[in-house]
Amino acid sequence: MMRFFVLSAVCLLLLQLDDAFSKTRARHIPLGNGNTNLSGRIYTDHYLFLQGANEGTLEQSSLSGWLDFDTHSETGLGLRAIGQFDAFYRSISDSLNPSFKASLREGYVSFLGTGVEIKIGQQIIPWGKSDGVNPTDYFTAKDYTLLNPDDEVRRMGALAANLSFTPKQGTSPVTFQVVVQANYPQTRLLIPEGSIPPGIAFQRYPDSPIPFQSSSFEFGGRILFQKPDFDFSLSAFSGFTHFPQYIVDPGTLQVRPITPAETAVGGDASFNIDAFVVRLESALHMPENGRDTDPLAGLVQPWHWDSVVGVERPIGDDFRAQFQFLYRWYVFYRSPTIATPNPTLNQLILGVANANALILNYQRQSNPGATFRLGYASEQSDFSADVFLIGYFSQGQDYLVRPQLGYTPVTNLKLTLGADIYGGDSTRPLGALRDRTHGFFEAKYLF
Amino acid sequence: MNRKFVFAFSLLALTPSAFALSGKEIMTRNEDARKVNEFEARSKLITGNTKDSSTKSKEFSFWRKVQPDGIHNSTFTRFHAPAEVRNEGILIVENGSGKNDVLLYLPAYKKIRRVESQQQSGSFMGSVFSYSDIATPHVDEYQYSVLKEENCPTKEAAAIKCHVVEALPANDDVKERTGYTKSVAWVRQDNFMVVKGEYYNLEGTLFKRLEASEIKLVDPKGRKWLSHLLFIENLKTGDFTRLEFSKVKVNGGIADAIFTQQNLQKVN
Repeated sequence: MMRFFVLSAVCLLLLQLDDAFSKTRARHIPLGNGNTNLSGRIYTDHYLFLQGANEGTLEQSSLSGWLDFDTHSETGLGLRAIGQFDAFYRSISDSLNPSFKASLREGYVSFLGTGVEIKIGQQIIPWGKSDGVNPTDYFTAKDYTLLNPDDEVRRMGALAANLSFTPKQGTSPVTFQVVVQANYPQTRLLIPEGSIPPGIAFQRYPDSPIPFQSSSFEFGGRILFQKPDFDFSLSAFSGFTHFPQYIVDPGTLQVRPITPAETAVGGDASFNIDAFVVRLESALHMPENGRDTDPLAGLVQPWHWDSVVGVERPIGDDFRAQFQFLYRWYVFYRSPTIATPNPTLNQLILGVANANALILNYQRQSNPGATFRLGYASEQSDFSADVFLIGYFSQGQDYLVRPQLGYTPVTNLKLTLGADIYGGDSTRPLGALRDRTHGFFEAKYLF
Repeated sequence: MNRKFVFAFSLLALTPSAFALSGKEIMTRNEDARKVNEFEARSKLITGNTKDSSTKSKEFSFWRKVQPDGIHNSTFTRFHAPAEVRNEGILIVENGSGKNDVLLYLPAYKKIRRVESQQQSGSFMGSVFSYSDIATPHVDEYQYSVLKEENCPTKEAAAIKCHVVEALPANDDVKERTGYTKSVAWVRQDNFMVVKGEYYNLEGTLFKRLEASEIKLVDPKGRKWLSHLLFIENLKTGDFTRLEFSKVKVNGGIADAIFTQQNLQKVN
């Protein structure tokens, strides 16, 4: 709690220094089309198993809608709320019965002044420059049980205060950002069938959102240096990992998810070299019990250094290609040490530890990988095609290939046909999902 | 022959060459006539094809300001419609090297993306205009020659004489950024505004034709002019784009903070 007050005091001081609440300075900040906007989207997407025991059956089928309301005044004060509903005919959580959920995707009050940006409320705060794989994305989580390949759809936010300050009335290349987040979101991963040992009580997903309490607050800050031709940022975070992992309760033998506390430091950068855009991103994640001397060493995800180096360039007028090299290094890596007097419990713990290593991709100390994307868009953007590949190599390769075709018959309506093809070593994270290989269709209308 | 006569004869003889403007002088005057220190407007970008009656429209706000060097501009656009591009923003910062910096904000991902130098000759928001067309050309980036004088070839300026000036990129960076190996401009002799332009691609083929109309004096004190309607056509594909400016306001005091990455991602 002390940290929260200190950070708040710093922010207020910065605000006073710049006298940023001046109406005259806020006057020329372009905020949008008029004072109030109502927009949204309606989309329906359907996924069909293409292989495995369920081949030919529906994996997920849903109709969803977002309603986005935002209003702001000349003084820079604003309000934004995005409501969302999802009506599932079939879902990953319940493959037999229809279900419905409604939620507030984002809802916050804001002040956008010259050099100052403050947002308080439910919000999504994505950090990181690279594409799809973001080591410095500390604050958000993703729901991978929503099969929609759009990161925007999967991303989850939380209740947070987000403050940015740019000196010299917003013209300095340096920006300071501070985020305080409560009841953090937790990623919902696709868990391969059979990865958790059978015959035990197993809570697949954590209770979400977690209860609002002072001990669950997260803090982060970053310094950004942004020039038109080059930018970089340095960031630090103290909170929790948003990727649940499993532990065994020795008393009840129940397997349940936990999200260990973690601190992290990182940074990112982007710049142009001739026809290429280069993006770099790296972070050292230091989860609780992630060192080799910790009590749960080998059972939960160890400290790890995640890095992405990416290049992207156009090919002709209509094509783009992107390549990213991924590298994850587990600083403290060791096999699980199981020392209970109960051999059955030991066996169970070992099984869960292996499941954690599979789900969170720490089966080995060094994890090189790569992504490749080739995209096409016609000049009028009526037709698009995209192939995305992510794979990990060395000691057992696994991969996901996602080809997509898009067609926009009329403005704001897009139809997409595609597939998610998992393959490779079935003991590796992506190879283990090979039975989830599916084809999909989506129709999305924006208004 | 007395000295007075000789002097007068010399003047007469010299008049055509001494008072005819060079290509660079014409384009310097053109740049001066259109260089408004600060300019903001609402804009509409209408695209279509000559073989098809349907058109698509995009609406955006537009801010431009001359940088402290007095030559290069910074341009900021924020899109309002249609829904698929709402709140997208584009920041173009011209620089002296001939390689402009272009940054694109994608609100769906809450992220800024850089546009490569090569891509700047590509389509600006699905239109026939390129990013480098939206940024403005500068005199020092080209070598000029005057081809001829003739009546201006547009309806609005038909009664006015035009200089016809050919421009060649001064270096490969400009050629790469614009995608043009040559352009020809029809420049009005009364106010030095371009009314027509023809652009040649990297193969040397004529492929775009521009017409500028509704040219209005927007800053009487500084003698600055602005074309409120630009029509450009791709002669190979038949695609065309109309760019309309309305609610034009000049020198109204635009904050420098608008032309920053911080502002680019600042949407409610």
